[in-house]
Amino acid sequence: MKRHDRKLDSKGKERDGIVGAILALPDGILTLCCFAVPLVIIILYSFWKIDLTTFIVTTDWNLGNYADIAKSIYLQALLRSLLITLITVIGCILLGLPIAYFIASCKGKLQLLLIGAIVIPFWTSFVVRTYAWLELLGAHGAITRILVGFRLLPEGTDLRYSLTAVVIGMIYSYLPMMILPAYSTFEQLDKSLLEAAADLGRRPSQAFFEIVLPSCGGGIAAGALLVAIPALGEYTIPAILGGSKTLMIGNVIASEFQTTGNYPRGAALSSVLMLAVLVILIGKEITDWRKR
Amino acid sequence: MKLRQHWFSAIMSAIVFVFLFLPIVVVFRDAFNANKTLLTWGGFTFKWFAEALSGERFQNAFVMSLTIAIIVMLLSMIFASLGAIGMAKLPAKVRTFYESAIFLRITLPEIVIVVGLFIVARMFGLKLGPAWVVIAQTLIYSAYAAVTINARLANVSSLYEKAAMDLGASQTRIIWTITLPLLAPSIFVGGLLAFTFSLDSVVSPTFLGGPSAETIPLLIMGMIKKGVSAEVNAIGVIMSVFNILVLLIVVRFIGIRQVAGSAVKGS
Repeated sequence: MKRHDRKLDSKGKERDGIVGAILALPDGILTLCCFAVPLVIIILYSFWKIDLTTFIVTTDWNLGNYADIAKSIYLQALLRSLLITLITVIGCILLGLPIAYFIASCKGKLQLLLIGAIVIPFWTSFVVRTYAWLELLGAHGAITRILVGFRLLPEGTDLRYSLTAVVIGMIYSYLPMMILPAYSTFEQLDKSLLEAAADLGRRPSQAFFEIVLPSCGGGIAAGALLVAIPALGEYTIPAILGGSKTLMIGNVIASEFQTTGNYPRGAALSSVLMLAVLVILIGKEITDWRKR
Repeated sequence: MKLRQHWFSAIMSAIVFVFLFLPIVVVFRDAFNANKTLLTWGGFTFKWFAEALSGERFQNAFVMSLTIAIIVMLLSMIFASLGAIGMAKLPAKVRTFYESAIFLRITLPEIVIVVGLFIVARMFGLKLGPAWVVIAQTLIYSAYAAVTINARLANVSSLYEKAAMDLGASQTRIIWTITLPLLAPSIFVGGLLAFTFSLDSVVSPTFLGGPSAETIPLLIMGMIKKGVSAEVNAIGVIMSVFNILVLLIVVRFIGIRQVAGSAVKGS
């Protein structure tokens, strides 16, 4: 009887698998044809050559495109992207953690309201929100005038189309991705530890650095990744707020395809960007695995 | 017990909230500012809205954006719900593989994915256009929908399905009458996520739209290049109101906490 049951069970599982495969087929085909294959083609292209007078791509296997990246403007754009991403992550942590802590310390309705207030900017048109910074950072913009008023900037400064503008725009756009995961780890923190710390005479600020931060490290790291990964490949924010000398790798890739027409070099740049993201992801997997 | 409040976090929060809302306030104020240079307040006007709404370019871009967004929404709902239900039935190894593919569709930079499709189109001599934009956006945004639906699927008890199976219902009938209705709210929310992401997307129409597919974000990008314009603010207000209406619908369905969760990419 038992053996019969098991046989039936394995047969049921097999049938389940077939039904599952049929259901997942449309999405599977989409992933294969429009995701996996194009990514492989990008990698192949990055080893090929283009004749820039005829725009004919030949399959001469070579590393020339990568050698091009190693020198000059491409390397600069890459390093600049890393730098901007790093500043963005640090900025999001510095601005995001206090507010995440504050939201976690509020009660009931107020807490919901504050979460809503974080989410709403996220749902208004992204392009227009970024564009608004052009107005705020111009020579007559509110932010510039305040900074000039405090004598932090010389009279007549225009902050637009600069590294500062790109960094402000990036921190602004990615801040919610830091706040929300940090808030949820603060919320889940075992508060009895804080009670114990208070009983032992630690001030709240001491308890924050000695207890809250160390035990919420995971959530903060998760938030930092949610900021860093999309920030690295950002295209729109530097396209709006940056100048020609503050482009990120995403913009350089775009111009290789749209202006220069050097597809193999653009493909090599894309491959490097892909690799950078994968390195971050694999690094995260390894640290997660070590903890276990 | 809650975390103890601290004056420093309260002050910082006030500053950050000003930071988050300042650009939005500026856009809304300038959309109604009669002074064309926008340097000072020149009185209240609806002129920019009238100009934007009557412009043929805006109308075409709006229709284009909306058409693409609705198709992407519907396709995402279909692909993601079938994918999520199917995934649960697959053997563990295949499922892990599939889950990683969905994760990568979300995390790899949009520009890389779009460039890949661009090369494919060029390689095979295919004409760029709205259809390519739909493909790229469905690929990326349906992955977000799949994550939303998966989260719901993990919380729905399989008890009903098992009961139906014991009563001899066929697989198709179980999926149609039990699984899909249970997942309906999350499918709907996943679709609306795809819809709003599509309305806001810059990268995919820039590369794949060709000359015929000017969407609202592209229209705005073009107008910005010519400098500050009052009309851009009016268009921004129109699109933002549109998006927030969608947000309100979503909140009614799943509550603000879940929205906060699904708005964070890939979580």
